Amino acid sequence: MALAQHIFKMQKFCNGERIAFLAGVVSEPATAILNVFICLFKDLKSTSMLLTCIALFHMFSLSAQTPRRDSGANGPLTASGIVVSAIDGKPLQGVSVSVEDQKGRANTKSDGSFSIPVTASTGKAKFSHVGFKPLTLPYSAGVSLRVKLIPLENQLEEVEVVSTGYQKIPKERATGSFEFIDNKLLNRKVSTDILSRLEDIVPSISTSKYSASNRGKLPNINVRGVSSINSNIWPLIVIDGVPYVNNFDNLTGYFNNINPNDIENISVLKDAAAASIWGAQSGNGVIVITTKKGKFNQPLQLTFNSNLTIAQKPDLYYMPQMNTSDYIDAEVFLFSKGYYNSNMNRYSYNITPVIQLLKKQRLGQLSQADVDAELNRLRKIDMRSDFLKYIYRPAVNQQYNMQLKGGNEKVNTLISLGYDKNLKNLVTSSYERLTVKNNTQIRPISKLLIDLGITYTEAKSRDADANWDYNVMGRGMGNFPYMELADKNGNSMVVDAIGYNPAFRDTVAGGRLLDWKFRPLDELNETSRIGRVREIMFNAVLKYELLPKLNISANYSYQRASQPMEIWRGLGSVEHRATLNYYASWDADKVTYNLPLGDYMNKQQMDNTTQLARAQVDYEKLWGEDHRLNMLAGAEIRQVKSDGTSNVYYGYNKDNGNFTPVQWGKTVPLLNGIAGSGILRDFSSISGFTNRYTAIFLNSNYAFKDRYIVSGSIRKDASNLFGVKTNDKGKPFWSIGGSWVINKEEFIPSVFDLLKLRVTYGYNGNINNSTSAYPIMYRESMPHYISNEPYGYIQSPPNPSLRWERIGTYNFGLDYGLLKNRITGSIEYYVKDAKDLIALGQLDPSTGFSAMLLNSANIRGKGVDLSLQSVNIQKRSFSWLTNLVFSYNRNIVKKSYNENVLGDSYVSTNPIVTPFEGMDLYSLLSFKWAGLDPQTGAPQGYVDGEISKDYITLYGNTSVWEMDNNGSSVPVYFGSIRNTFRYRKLELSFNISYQLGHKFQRTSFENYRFVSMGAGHADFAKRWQKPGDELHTNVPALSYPANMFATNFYAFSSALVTPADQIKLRDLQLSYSFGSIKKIGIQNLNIYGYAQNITTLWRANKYGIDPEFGFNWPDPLTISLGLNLTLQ
Amino acid sequence: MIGFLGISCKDYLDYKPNIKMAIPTTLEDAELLLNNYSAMNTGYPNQGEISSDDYFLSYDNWLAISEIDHRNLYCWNEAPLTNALSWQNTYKVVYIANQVIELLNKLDPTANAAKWKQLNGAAHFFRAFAFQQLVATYTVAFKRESASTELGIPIRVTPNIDESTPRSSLSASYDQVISDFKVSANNLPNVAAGKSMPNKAAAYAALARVFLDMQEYVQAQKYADSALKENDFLLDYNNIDSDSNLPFQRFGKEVLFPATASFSEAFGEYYCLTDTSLYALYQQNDLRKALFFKSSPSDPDYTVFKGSYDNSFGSPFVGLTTAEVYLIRAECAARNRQLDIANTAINTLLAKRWAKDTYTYINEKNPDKLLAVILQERRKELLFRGLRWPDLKRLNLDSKYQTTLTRRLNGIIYHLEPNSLSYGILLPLSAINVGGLIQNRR
Repeated sequence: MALAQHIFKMQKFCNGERIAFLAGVVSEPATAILNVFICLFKDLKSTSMLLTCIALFHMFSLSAQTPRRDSGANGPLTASGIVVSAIDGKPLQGVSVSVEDQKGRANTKSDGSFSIPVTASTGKAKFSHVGFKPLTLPYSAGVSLRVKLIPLENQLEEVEVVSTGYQKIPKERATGSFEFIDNKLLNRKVSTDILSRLEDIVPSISTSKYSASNRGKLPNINVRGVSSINSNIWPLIVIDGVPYVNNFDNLTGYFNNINPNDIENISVLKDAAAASIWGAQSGNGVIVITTKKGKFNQPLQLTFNSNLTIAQKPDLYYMPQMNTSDYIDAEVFLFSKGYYNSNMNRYSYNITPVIQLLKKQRLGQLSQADVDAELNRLRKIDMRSDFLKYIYRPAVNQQYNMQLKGGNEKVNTLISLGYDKNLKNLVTSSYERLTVKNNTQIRPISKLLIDLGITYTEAKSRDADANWDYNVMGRGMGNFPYMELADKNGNSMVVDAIGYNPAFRDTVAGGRLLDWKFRPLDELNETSRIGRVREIMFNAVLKYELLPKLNISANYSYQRASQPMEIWRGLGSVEHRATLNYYASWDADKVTYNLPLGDYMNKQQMDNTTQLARAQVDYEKLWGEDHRLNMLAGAEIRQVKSDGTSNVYYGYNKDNGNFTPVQWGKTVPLLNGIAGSGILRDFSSISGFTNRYTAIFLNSNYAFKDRYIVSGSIRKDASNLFGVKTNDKGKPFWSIGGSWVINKEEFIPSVFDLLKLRVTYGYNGNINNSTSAYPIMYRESMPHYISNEPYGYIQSPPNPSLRWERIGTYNFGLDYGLLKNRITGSIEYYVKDAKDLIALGQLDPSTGFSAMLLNSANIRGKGVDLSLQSVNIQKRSFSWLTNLVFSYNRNIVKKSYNENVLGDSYVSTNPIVTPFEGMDLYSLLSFKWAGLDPQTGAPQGYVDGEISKDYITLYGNTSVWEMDNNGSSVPVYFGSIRNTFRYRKLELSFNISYQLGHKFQRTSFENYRFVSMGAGHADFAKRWQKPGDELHTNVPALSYPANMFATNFYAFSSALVTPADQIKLRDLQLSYSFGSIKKIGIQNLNIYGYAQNITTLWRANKYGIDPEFGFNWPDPLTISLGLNLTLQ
Repeated sequence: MIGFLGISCKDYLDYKPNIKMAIPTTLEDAELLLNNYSAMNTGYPNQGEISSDDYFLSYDNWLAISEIDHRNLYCWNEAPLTNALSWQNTYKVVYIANQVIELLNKLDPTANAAKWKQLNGAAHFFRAFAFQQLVATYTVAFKRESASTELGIPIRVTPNIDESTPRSSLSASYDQVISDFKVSANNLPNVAAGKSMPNKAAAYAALARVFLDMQEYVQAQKYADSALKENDFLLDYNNIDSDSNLPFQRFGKEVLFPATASFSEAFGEYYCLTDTSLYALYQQNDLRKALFFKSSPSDPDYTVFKGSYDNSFGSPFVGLTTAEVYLIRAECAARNRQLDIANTAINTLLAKRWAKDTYTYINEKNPDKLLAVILQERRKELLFRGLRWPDLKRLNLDSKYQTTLTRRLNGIIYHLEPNSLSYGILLPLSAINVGGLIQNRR
């Protein structure tokens, strides 16, 4: 291979040795590079030597040839010569040549030659060309110069260039809607993951945080709202041109593997013209991530970044926990009503300590005085203090990253090493991540560029397999507030908050079973769930200049993630002991454990492999000065494969790996027959998924005088969708667009530095692969738990009329720059017409199904994105910048299949989809509220306009059209304002974010949930107690029996609808740059501090609720400190 | 360059995305679908059992029941059914059976004739069983003279979801049940293909059950005979441990076809109390007294039923057993004046139910007295079987055997008169609102 011959020698003084560095050999580039860098690293102290080395590179750059005298020097004087590129010696056309102090100017011709009349026989000539370092040289008239210009990749990058993942376009020539986030802005925030850094900095991106369990696992960001109902709603994430698979395993959150320190910049593609190049997956927007790369002709540079973040313990006192004394009173009330009469004898019913006391009192085992004394002691307890003391800690995140990069004219490389260690709030949870990345670009011959990237990530997350979180541990929401985890001396206590009646637990089988008591603090570490991710990503791009302006490129990328997971439960965990007891049988002589005694171990292994190959042709043609045509065409093929296995072991011994075989499939008595019988089931399983995609695409852009630009794209996508007709496996997508750079017109006053109008229309699609045209059956991996026979099931009924979802998007944009670019920004307006959206339609239960997915809805989304940057003050020592980001987004349902639908399916405390004509896609619907009954304190609503307490009808038989529509449940207006102040080397910036125009359903005391599961709420204190209370409260009286329908009616009534608007001081960053300290080789030293979740400046509700977080506690304040050091 | 995509692009995209997925096309697929025990053998309607008189609840426990439909059904409150789950579950059985029948019709029946016949028989059996359970719950008693005008249930015989199917007449509903069971009897093998599958005996037993409900006693007796010819095994209760909390194993040898109704707290061990007059019927040496009942853990003055053939509390066993067939044969023979057959049938059963050598054989020559004895034994044997509700409907048609049910809650007495329209349980709201079905009369 010709490549191998292209050995370049990098001169380097390493202990006096001269190292020849072979970088073109594909076989072991990474190790070779690593070796060299280790060597370089040792020597970094001698920075001056490095500088020498760099100076050597520079020696190539310019060499004036021996002057040659022209004959006949009497004529007008001219300076002439030829300009070539320092890289390949090729002539450069269009280089601007001017002579100092004179008016003459010239451009080089296609052969690189120039000739310029001069008045003085010697002087200085200036050469400048886009992408090259300007150069000033002495000339002598009549002596031909040979000028070598050094390309400056640096400068090219700094022109605002947006990347679509397939190509880089100068923002000037783009017609579509992009947001560009540069490195500085990305690094303003401190975080372990990259996606959270997109929040609050560009318009159109909204983040949802209300689902605590999804956070850190799903992307949770939307671009321009949601235009799908049941299909995937997350944007596509693309890294260096390769779609990043994030859909197979939600639980480990692949995107967490991306180290933010490795990211150079991000482009967000918002409209169809921008995104359509990504085809079927682009309907929700595309996030294009470009990683850092080395640069040609760049001196070696070492960057070190490290920070420490500390987050407060969660604010449990934010949670509306029921007052302990109230809770006890309510339990006493229920006891007196007889609610526990049968339950307290049930072996499988766990009764709280208070009910145990009352039971003992009823049986005459305790006196009234004893009971009262104990109740009074319990009344003073609030479990939150123990949770804060023993279960939570301040979270501590450490982040370290080191990068080394450099390059000469033929090769450049970047190596990056990152390590993150996060101790989470929960004492049993932590996360570690190691990333190693290398990117090497080689230009063995001038026409060929090889770009090789390899990234290795190893992450480890550790959690307990048991739930320790407040309101999740034990009885969950039904935890009694007088729960005590430890006694006064900090000794772990038994907590009666797990299954089974204490009386049964302690006596069954004559007490010979495994200890059945739950001592939370003793068993924090008796279970574990250790998930690892070992991911390697390899990406190779070959770009070859076939003809001038015609490039061909080929791209191959391989991504492999191995994800072992170990779930372990030791005999120290009560959950495991309870399982062994459950499967035990006994007689007078002995206890037989049908599941072997010993630990439980579940080893899971998930392997994901993604391969992508793409071939692409880029063509550029210029006719004269005025016409410029860019075209790109290509094809790609991609496969995402995922295999999983899961093995379960009982009687496991951690120390030697031994385990005991189980007689799977055997029928055994449960609790010795008390609970009937059951089959010993093996939960081992094997799974396999393969998704395949093919695509061909064409993209073109024509510019006239760089002023009038039209663009178009078309792409045909296909995938191995199952259960659809072959014709429906693929779908073409297209877009057209135009832009007009108005400021280049003469009639535009010079106050505008930029004024550009853009219009695009594009057509996009989406398909839901959980539904199909044919009946699809799934073969269950495990035999049935009752019959022990293999079986299959049909999850959803077939839908022969299944079609692709279609989304047409108009985008109108105006980019502006005013007053010498003191004010810059853009305004965009868009309309998204989504048709044939797949939505759940209710079915007649006589079909055997309650609902099915149908192409039944149309949605029209409209919105405005606005960004504005204003340089308020720009002085040498002081500057003040303001960035304003504003988004408006509303999605109105234009058509829906089901008009007569009962409202109870469309109420929730979290935003849910309400696909009804004329409504916002996420509307907050609530039952009309008629106040409390003045006599009984019972909730009241309206049936046919009359005040009613017919709760079955109120809750179960009210149509959505009879309910109050409170408008959007997701923010309609959102954005942020960031002010940045700089005083000399000190910079301060803070971000104020706002979400406005939406409502939420507050939670309250729910009578039924208290009775049935012990879930209390602070609102209990505000309940109706006597006639007259209804004038100042909406909280119904405590009643027994509890009516589920009455409770649900109240919980989702308008009485609890609350405005959700709020404005927050989201974060603040302070940094000090020491600049360069040459003496010790420091090019730049920067220290920074960052605080997040600082305070809420204003909120519309007066209950102190932060609606951004649903009914979870808000993210605590975090403080980070860090430093960033660059050595050269 | 486009060429590299050309390499059999179609095949490339025909690759299955999930190894567990399949479009059902084979006999094996059909079998896997029918083997789904949760879908095919559980979740049948429980509303009839909740409404009938095998048990009662204390007021406290009645209040503590969280499912409002169950509280309403207990006292025959005419509130609409809010929860459609057991209706939907039962129609899911119909859907899967229809899907399998459609698949079988596309396959060559001769390729693997035995398997094809077994699956065809099973699919028809499941469909008929589901329809029969629905009819027993949601319609009034079958009367030959009015059955063609009385409302039955929607009869769905294709898997097409978008077809709207209104309620058929009661006679058409019964006709469908009978014809499906007959197909199954002709196709099913003598030995069931698996624990959850029906066999030929089950199909005959089911036909006997249907004809009994229709008061077609000759037909019922004929099919009872056919069933017993296939399988006449009875458990000897002397061999069963009465100390056990749940004495009867699931899939016991007496079971011809296993099935259970949906769960209700009302049947739970800690709620349900056996009707005292029913419990009083069991004599000293009747082993069922100790095997079917234990002292209630929440109120020792009463007993609770523990004799489920499903080995569980909460979800009544509604499948078919040989004991039920003996009782059908006995009853029909008595009604058809074949007293010897009737006496033998009842004696064969009871001899296995009484303590060894304590049972006194009946030899009753008065047909009415014999029928009364047999009906009482039916009551004692088949409680919590989903049979009491259809039995009440049927027996109430005969003035000699009419029963008025009563409930007492917090001092209030509720009555359910014989032949009340309330014997046809109201359809779930969503079947009315979304399916557009006609609601039962009141």
